[in-house]
Amino acid sequence: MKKNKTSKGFLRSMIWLFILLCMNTAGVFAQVKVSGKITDKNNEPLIGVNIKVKGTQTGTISDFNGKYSLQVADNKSVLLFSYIGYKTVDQVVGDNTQINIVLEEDTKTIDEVVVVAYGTTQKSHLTGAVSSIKSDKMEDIPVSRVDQALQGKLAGVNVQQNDPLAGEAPVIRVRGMGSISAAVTPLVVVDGVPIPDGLASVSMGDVESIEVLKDAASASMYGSRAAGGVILVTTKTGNIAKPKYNFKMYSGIRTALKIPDLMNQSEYVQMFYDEAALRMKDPTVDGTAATMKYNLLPDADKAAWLVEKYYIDQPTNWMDQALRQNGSNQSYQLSASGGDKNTKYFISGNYQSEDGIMRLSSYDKYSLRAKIDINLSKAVSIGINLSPTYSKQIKPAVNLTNFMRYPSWLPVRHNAATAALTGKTAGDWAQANDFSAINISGPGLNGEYWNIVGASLSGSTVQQPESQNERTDISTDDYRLQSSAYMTINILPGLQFKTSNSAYTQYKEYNNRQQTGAASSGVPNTLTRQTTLHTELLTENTLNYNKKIGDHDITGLLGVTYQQTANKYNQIVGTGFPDEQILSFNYASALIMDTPASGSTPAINGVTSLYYTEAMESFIGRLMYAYKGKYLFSASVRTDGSSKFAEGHKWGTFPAGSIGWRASEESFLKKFDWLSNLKVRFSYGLTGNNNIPQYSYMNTLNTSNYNTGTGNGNLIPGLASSDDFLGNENITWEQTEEGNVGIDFGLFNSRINLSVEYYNSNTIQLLLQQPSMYITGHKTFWNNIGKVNNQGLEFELSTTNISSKGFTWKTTANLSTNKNTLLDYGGRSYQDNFGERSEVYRAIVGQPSIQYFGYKSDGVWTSFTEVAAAKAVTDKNGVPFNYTKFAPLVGGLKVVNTNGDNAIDPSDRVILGTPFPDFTYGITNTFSYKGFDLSFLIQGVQGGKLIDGNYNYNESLRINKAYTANRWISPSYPGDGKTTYDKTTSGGDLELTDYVMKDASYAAMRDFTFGYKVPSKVVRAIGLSQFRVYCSASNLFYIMGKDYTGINPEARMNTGPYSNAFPLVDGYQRGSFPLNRTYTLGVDINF
Amino acid sequence: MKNKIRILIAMFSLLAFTACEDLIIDKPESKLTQVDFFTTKERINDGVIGCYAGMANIMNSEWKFTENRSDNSCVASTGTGSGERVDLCDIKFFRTSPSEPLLYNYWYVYFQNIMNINAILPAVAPGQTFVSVESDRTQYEGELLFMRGFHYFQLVTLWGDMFKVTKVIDQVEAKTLTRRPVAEIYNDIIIPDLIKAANQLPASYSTNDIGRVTKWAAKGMLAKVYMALGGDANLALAKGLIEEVMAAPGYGLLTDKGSMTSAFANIFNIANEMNKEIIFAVRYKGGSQGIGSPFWGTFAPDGSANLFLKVGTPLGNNNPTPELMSFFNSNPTDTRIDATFRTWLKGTTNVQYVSKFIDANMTQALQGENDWIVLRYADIQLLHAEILAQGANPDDARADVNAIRTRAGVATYTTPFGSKTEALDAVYNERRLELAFEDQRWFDLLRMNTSYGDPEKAINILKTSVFTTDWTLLYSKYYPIIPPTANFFNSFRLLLPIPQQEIDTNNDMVIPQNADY
Repeated sequence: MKKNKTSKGFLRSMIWLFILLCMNTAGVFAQVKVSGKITDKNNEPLIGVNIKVKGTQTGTISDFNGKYSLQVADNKSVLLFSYIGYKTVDQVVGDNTQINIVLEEDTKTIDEVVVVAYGTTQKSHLTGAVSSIKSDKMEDIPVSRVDQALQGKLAGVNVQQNDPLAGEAPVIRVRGMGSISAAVTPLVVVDGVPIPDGLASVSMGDVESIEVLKDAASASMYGSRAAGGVILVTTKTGNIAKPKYNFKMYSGIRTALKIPDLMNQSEYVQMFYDEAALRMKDPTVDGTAATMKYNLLPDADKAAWLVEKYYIDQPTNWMDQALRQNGSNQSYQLSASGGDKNTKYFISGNYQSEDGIMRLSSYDKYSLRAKIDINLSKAVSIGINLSPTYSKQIKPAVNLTNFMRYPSWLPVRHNAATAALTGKTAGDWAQANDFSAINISGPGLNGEYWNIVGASLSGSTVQQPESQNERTDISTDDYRLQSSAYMTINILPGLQFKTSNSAYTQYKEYNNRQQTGAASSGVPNTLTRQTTLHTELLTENTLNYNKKIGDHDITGLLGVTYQQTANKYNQIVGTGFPDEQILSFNYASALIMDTPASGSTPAINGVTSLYYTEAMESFIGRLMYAYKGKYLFSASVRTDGSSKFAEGHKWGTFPAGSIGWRASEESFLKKFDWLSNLKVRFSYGLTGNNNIPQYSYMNTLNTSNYNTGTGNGNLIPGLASSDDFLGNENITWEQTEEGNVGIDFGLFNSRINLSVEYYNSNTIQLLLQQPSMYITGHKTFWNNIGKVNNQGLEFELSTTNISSKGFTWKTTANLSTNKNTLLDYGGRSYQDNFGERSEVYRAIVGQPSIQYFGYKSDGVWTSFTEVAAAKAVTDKNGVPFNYTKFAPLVGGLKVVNTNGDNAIDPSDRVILGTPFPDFTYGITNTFSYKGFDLSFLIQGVQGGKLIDGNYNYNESLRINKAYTANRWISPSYPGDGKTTYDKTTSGGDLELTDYVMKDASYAAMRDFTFGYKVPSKVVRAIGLSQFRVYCSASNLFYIMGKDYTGINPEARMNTGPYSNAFPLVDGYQRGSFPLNRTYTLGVDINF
Repeated sequence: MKNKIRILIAMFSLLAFTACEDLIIDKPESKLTQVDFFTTKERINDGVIGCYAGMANIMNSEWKFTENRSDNSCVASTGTGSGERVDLCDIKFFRTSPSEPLLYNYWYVYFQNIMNINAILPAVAPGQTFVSVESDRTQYEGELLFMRGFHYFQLVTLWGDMFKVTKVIDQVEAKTLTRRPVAEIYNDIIIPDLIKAANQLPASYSTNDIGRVTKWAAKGMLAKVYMALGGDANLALAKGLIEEVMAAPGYGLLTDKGSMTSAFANIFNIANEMNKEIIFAVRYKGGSQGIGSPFWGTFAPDGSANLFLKVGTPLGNNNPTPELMSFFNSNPTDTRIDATFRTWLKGTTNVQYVSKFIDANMTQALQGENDWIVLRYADIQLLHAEILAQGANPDDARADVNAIRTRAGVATYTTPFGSKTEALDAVYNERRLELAFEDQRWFDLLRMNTSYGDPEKAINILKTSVFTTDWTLLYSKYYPIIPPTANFFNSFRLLLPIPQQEIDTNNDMVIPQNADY
């Protein structure tokens, strides 16, 4: 603050001194040519500054070097220098022909322009809840996708990376679980065009700004698809300037933050004997056969120990097979931009590459963007925006669970010793099966001679993961073209017609090639190819009206849009190729047809061909009115008709209104110097959701072939309804009504800015995929049912903590809460939904929409006496207590009889927690001193629980140290009294208990960046205009929940019952890949 | 300029007003819809064929809940990586969880096919003219009713009281239905459906349609239904039906051994499908057409890789119990031994596997040729014996039993059966040997409770088999810590639990669970 005043004073004196010095030579000419240079306080040239002669239409803008020149009428003319984000300067020409100006940053930057639906508005005039971020706040974050960079940046925008494979999209939730229906993902609109596959096609370097429309009033202009919020991406546009080139690159390495700590067979057997030794010392363990069984090592484990000790070179560390030592990521972008009065262009090319820490996980993307705007005449302008991208994602065939489950005694390939043992050839892939039915003997761990006759080491018939991975290629090629063109015509002053037409085309090809025996032995080689051609044609035609009459500002919009989507999907599965490398179906000896119906095991998905279309027609209207720039009103409406619904249920109308009051503009508040901004906003609106699969309103028929005839018979084509969906022709839009109150404060000349939002939304006639009674012959159906409430608070704070002597420290922080409540479920009191292990996710009216429902536990049964006593319990009639599947067992989970009856049965299940966090937050601190800058972002989620499905695997409870630590061994060595002995004792197979429920909170340093901008003098000397070099790191520290035993608290299953189609089933993880820690170096050069 | 503007405005408004519903109507081009579809003979035939295919889905899982729970079959190994085998063990030891995924699936495929059957039935109801030739209409209706009656017979036998679904229902209606007593299902669905099917179905089919259900299959199935109900009147009805089937032209015991080692083996020979022994089979076709039989891949011995199975991984399920094998081996000349199970020397361990459903030339994993036999002549003949054994003169049963034994190559009974018990013992033993792994044993065990007049008969046989005969030989090593408890082996658990999800989904009313679950 002080610094500002000083420099301002200093500048003024300098200017006056300059003027005085020039006085003498001043003459009186009719025309004076003035030129000069405009810079900022760091002496960096400012390009594109508007220079206008006051009271005339004459003007120009500064060029690439910040220089300008123009003719003025006389030396009494006044020049106005204005530039967005800087204070405007008036300057009398006087006798100067050379006027150099230093513009000062305007810290009161509330009047930046914000992109909204179908247009832009000044931030000061905004009445809805819109979070905005400029590209410079994200560019340095070395992530391969724009959405990943948004993590922790905006209040109410929660980004979670469910799957850390290279190139995978994170899950974005705006304002919590705004809707509990099919897809609650936000609508992504890039330069006005809704993009079906989110932010995958956008390159970070092309992004100018991202706005998230959070409240219903802001989003409702996108009507039926806006219930999940709207993300507006604006790409860069050329400026009026000489060609400007920018080159950006970064390159980095990544490592796994945490990997499962697994025991090898020797360690496992050692532990077994150590535990047995303790048990033998334990006086409470009697010597009867039943309890001595705890000391018996199964033959298979002995045999495995022998193989590991005597046959293989060293125990196989399957994690090393699964993971790369170092992954890498890099990005290169070159762009050129510029323009003159009539033409502006921005052209960029980008290459990005990421090698994930899982082996065989990579993502490469090439993209181009060309954006050209041309003024054809005063009335007509046109523009095009083209962006082709190509990306290739390669994925491993085997997930980490399978690597985790593979035994350490099995070599990847046979060595001479194991080859001799198994009768295989050295160098061949070693399979668990190879070791079945062989004799293994040798001195055992306990000094005995072990001779295992006909050892069956593993019953597993699945191929070992490395051999499966190496013999399977899975890749997805994605070709996208986003193309749009617009034309605007100024019809009358203030009235403009705009037609904007776009085509989005995506061609995706997925190939999965399995070599012979890759997945399991004997299976012939197969090639599965899935191709999807997705085209989206959109025409939007609007009339815009803009008029300022005195104190009245009026903006109107009227429009009609029509969108048509077509999807062509084909799958071909060929098998029996003569060579493993052939990728052409011409060589396939057979094509695999689809299996007749679900329920057969295993379902072979064969040749499939689907074609479906979708259309939507909409009418939009909006009126905005501002009085004296203080009182703001806005009203809008959109009507959508969608082909997804049956006749009579197609149309939906989504109105919205909002008001705002800029109190700080009132005279009675203007006297408070410290108050630079105070605005109160209120909005109310309706948004919709139609995001359900095509044709959900009807039962469809599928192929259901059969075989009749003499001999072996012949295929007879048949038809049957085998979809899991039950059609419902009454389904229609889901609607969300939302009210939003917001207050913006700006204090001390906007050094402190705080926005607080409170929202309360009700989603009504929910589109829900409900489980149907199986007796209907279907598993689920779509229905409009019930009501969900979401309310929350959001805080966005930005402060300039220190700004002196070239040192600045700025902080931006955000925090958001969301409380989700199911208000009505069609008159029912609850609904159960089910995961892969039939674990129950119960939605109860009056409570959060998802709650885990299962058995409560109270540590483990530690002693035999305790177990005996528990088994002897009877009710008053002498009826023994019925433990059903939770029979008391030493070292086993003690399940709580919550209802006090004489049994532990399903009626004892209780609510165990919810996946919803209490709050999420992000804090960014930025320090800069001279050319140096340092910033770090801490992002976190607090509260909420997850289900760790790894507990369902024997291997987790055998060899994963995190899961076996402190486990029960014997009554005198009960561990921590909470950890069960093994899987059989962890409590009711497949039943959900709180034993597997873990705290999902975390706090991570998402990004740490240290940069240096080389002084412009030096840079100029080598012909550049800017040179910045930086290094950054992600996840430098990462704090996980206290009781969390896994490796990635952010991971969630998102396939099968956990997919987007079943939003009420969430919070389950297993076999997830590790989190990444990334280190990068980058440069950013302008020339 | 002004004119241009006017044109533009006109165009714009035109666009706005031409908006109409036509733009947003979207009929699926790659999907057929179930409603109003079955309006021609061809389409109705497609639908009926689709229901036949639906039966395959049921048969694929049937052994898990019938043979697997009986004393014939066991789960011989439970290694890692075989989650399904752990589940099969639970089912085997009467610990089936109401949340068991295999149970859901098995339940679901029944009702899926019932829904498909119910969707076509109205189109072939008497008086409907979509099918112009009346005999075709009655055939289609008969086929559908046979399948529905058969499904419901299985459902009440396995689960007891049952939901009564006789038309396509939506979710709202589904929640108004609760389980109806077994007797009501028999009287309202099973018996009338099968009677109508028996009356309407043709006695035989032309070459291309062989495999579709005949009136003999319907009569045989109806006889089984009456026998399950038991009692003199029902047995009399069953006897009449069975004698009709036995007299039907073209059926009989297969005595020709063809390319196989015995006539018995020839029944299951994939080169000899739909032979004279077969009254009804669910048919499969091997190859890559997606209508193959999963049984050989499912039953081939664990760890044998591609020794027996040309492609895919042998799953090693449904193994013969030691007790069953010793029962067979007490008569070493029995030709049925080799055709029922075989022994593979895996290293130094003997591994036994079911050999009734071998397809040595499979080209796709789990896509074999083997049909699944539902009803065959020997079954019918032994049912005949079973009825006679309960009659005035139990020795009448001996001739039928001896006919089967003669074909099998074992000594016949020469001493007359002196009592009902003796005759029944002989009949059920013969059925066990003859029909092992054909999913008959479970239903036989349940009938024993009625025929012997001992409600604990079946459960005692099962308890002895698991805990006495096979325990030390088989199960002790898989359950070192938690032994399966004999408490679960009670008569209540002869019924499977209703899937928990089906109970939980109906929040309008409480669906009763079966006792003891």
